[in-house]
Amino acid sequence: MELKIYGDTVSRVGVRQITPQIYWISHCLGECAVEVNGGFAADFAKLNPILDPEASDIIYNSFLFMDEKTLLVDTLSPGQHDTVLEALSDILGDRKLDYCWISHTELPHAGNIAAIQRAHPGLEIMTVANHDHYEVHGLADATLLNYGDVIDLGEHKIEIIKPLFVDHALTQWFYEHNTGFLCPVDWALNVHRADQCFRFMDEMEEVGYSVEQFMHEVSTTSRVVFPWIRWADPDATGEAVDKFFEQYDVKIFAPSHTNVIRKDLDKYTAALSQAMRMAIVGNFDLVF
Amino acid sequence: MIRHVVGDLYQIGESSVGEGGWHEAVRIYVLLNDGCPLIFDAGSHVHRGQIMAELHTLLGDTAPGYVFLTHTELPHTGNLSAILTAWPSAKLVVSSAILPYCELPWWVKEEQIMYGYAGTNAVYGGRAISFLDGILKDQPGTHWMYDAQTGTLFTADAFGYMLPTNSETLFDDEHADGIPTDWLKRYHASAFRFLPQCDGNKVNADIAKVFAKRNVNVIAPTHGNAIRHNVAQGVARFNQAIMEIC
Repeated sequence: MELKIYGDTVSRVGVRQITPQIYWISHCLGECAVEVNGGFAADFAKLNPILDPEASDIIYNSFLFMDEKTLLVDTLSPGQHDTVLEALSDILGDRKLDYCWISHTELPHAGNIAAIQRAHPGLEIMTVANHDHYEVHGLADATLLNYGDVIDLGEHKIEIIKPLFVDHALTQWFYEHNTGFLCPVDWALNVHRADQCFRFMDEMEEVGYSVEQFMHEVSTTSRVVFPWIRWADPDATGEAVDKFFEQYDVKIFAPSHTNVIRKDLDKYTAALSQAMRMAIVGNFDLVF
Repeated sequence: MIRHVVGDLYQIGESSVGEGGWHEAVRIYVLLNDGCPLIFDAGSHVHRGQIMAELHTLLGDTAPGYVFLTHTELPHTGNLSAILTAWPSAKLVVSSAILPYCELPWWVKEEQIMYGYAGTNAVYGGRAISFLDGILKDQPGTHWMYDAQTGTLFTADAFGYMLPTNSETLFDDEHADGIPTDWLKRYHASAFRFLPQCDGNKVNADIAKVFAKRNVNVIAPTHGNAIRHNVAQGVARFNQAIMEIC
C-alpha cells in the first residue's frame, strides 16, 4: 500500500490517498500503543469479551481536499503539531490552504488550529453555527456554517449536515455529493492491532478484520463515546440510522476515529444500525 | 471575582457575554486545604489575566498542590499553561478515561500527570477526593469529583446555567427564589444537544443515583455559580429543565 509516514510514536502521522483529490492524514501509535496509552483501547475488550484484546490502538483522522480550493478537515491533536504541518506542506506544495473545517472543538480534533493558522496565513476556519460564546472555545473568528450550507471547492461540494450522534455541542457532520464522502466525526470508532495501522477497512479484512468485529466494536465504543445513548430508544435510534443511509448515498465512510471504509459500504452500514441498537441496551459500566 | 462559597471553598473566574446579554460563566473552584490548595479546572485562556490575578490574591505565597481537570476542553484547560508556569510543582489530576498525549497540551510532562479512577478515593495534600463518572457530559473522558469535607460535588458542565446581566456572580441564596429553571434549561439545551433524543425520566433517574450515594451540600458547576444553599431546589429545577428539553 502507498503510505508516507512522518514522525514516530506520539507524533506519528501517516498519509494515504483515498481519491486523487482526497488525502487521509491520520495518527495512531503502532507498536508502542500499549506502552503509551496504557491499554486504553484494549479496555474495550474488558467491556465486551468478543473484541480482540490485541487491538490496542485508536486512529485519529484528518482529511485534506485538494480541489480548486483546498480544505482540511480537523487538525489532529497537539502531540502531532509538527508532523501534521510537515504532511500538509508536502501535499500542498506551492498551494495555500484555504479552509479548515472543525468538526468539534475537542483537542484531538482542533488542537492544532493555532499552529496551522500561523503556518497558513489567511486560512479561513469554519465551524458550526447556532451556538454562542465561541471565544472560550478558541473559535472567535470562525466562519459559522448552518446545516444545509455548501462549501464549494470546485468539483467537490461539501454540505454541512445535522449529526445523528453528538458529544460536544459544537458538532456537525458533512457529506460531499460528488464522491459520496461522509464524515460522521466521532461515530463508529473502531480499534486496531499494530499490523492493521493505516489500512482501509477492505485492507483490514485481508489481515483478519471482519464486519462482525466492526459491529461489536462500535456497539461497545459507542457506549463510551456517546454515553447518553443509554437514555435513547434503541428502535428509534436504529431506524434513524437506516433512514440516514437511505437519504445519503455514502460511498466513502470517513469518521474521525475509524479506518476509512471505501468498499462494500452496504454491509458496514447495516452493521452500524445493529451496533447502535446493541449499544443502547448494553452495559455502560458507570460509577455513580 | 473571588467569591467565598462555604468552608475553605472559593469560586473564581469570569464569564463571557453572548446573545441577548446572557452570560456563560467559566469557573475555577479552589479548596484552600490548609496550605496545600486544590484547584478544580483551569479556566479559559480568554480570562487568563483576571484568573491569574485572582489566584495570586487568593493563594498568596502558597503554591497549589494539585490541579484537577473535570475534562480537557478549552474552557476547562485554556489557562492551564499559565497555572503550571506560575506553579510548576503542581500535579495535574485527570480522569483515567482520557489519553493525555492526545487530549492535553503537548508540553504537559508525563511525570506531572496523576489519574483519578471512577469509584475510588485518593488523598491529595491530606484531603480525600473521590471520583465518579461524569453522568451528564459532552466529552467521553469527563469525570465528576466529590469533596466530603465541604460536601461539594464538582459536576463539570452539568448543572451549569446561563446568567442574565447583573446576576453573573450571585449564588442561589442571593436570588429571590434560587436559580430559575429557565436559566438551567437555556444552558443544558445549548450544551447537551443530544438531550432531545433522550428520555428525561431516565436522565433524572441517573442523576438521582449520584445524590443518593453522597451528602451533597454544594453543587459546583463550571458554567454557573455554586449552588450552595438549597441543593434540593437546584436538583428539582434541573430535573424540570431536563424534562422540558427531552
